[in-house]
Amino acid sequence: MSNTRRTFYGSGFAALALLGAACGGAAAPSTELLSARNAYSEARNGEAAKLNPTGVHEAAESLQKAEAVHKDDPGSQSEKNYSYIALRKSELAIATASEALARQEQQRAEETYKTELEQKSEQASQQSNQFAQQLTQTQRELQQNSQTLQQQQQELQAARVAADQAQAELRQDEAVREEEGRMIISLSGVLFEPAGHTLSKLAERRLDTVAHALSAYKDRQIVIEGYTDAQGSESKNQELSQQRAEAVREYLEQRGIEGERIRAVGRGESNPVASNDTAEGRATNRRVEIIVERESLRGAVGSDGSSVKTGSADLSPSSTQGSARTATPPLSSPPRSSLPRSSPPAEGPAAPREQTR
Amino acid sequence: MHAYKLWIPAWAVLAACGGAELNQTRATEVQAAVLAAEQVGANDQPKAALHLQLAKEQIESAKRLAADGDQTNSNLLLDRAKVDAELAMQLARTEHEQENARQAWEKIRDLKKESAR
Repeated sequence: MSNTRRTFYGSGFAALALLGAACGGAAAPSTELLSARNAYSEARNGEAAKLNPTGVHEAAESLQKAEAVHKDDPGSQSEKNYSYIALRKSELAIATASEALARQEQQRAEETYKTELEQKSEQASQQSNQFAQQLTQTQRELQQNSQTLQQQQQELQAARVAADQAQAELRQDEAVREEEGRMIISLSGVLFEPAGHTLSKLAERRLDTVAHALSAYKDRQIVIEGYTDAQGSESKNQELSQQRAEAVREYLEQRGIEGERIRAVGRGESNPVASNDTAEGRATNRRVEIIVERESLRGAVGSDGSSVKTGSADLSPSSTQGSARTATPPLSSPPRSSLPRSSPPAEGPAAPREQTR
Repeated sequence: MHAYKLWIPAWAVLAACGGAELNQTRATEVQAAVLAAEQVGANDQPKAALHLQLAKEQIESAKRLAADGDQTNSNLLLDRAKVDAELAMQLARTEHEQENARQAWEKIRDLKKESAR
């Protein structure tokens, strides 16, 4: 018999018993029987009917027995005993249903807990993945930075080696000296056609070596100073020295040196490094000096405190021909005190002293 | 209903014969129900403990009635004792399950608190 059918029959029995009691005109039911009826009513109308139909059915049978005894022997001890049992059966049915309800509740809680735990786990997993990605990204950046640093160090080392090599090459063929960190390359001899400013083939070859060396000093400003001997008029010599300096500048530009960091200055017959009385001395005085400044002047502050810009107009002459240049004479030149020359210029090319002589 | 009516004369015969023995079958069933209730912790739960106590008292009363020769009421008291013992066991089990459900929800609250931190 199915639970539903049992409940149905149980309910039917109880209803019949109640009806019989009401219609029979019998004695009033005992307190125990009334309690049993109430308890059964509660069981039948509550959760027990759904969750524990078997228990409710058993309660109905017990109540039916109590009602029968009441009918046969109203107010007897037997009625009370059977009513007592019927009452307990209904309470038992209700308690059993409550247990089932509690189990359902526990199951629901466990499912909820599981869902919550899964969500939390998923959240933690996502967070973990995010951290892992961030870590990977940071490691990648660190590696890239490390590689960049290594590359820069290699480039720096290579530049140093190149600079050393360039200097060594220059020292083989040209007079190179250093004054307060500046490198001065002095080219003399037959560099130009007589009284002209066209470079000789020999001069071009020498300038090729110079250009190669200068390419190692990419951030430094370069000043090219042209000098003549003391023959001829001073103004002509001034003009010629300027043209020769310009010729060297143009050639170096052709050889890949950036024009914006080269400035050409004509010094005329000033600052002789040898006597103009002899042919050899004059040949030595006819020279071009290429000055590589000691550091980048881009954005730096000049010796006079003013901002120094790139290009010829902004380079302070004092930094190129001041006391530093005259303090240490060229290695190949005789002592200055013995030379027939004027004192070192104190001003730059913006107001060339030579032109006012 | 019919079986019930048929048994009444049998009980009467037994009582008349002066049977002072407690119905052993019923008594054994009741003792088993009492033990089962105690095993699930009925003594630890007030309402269950009350019904367990009632069951034990009714067993004693049933013994006395049997000794007095009232087998019918003795048996009925054993039936009452049995259903009280069964109810005690069920109440203890229900309380246990309800406690489990409460703890399960408590665990969820703790988890949510932990997640909110």
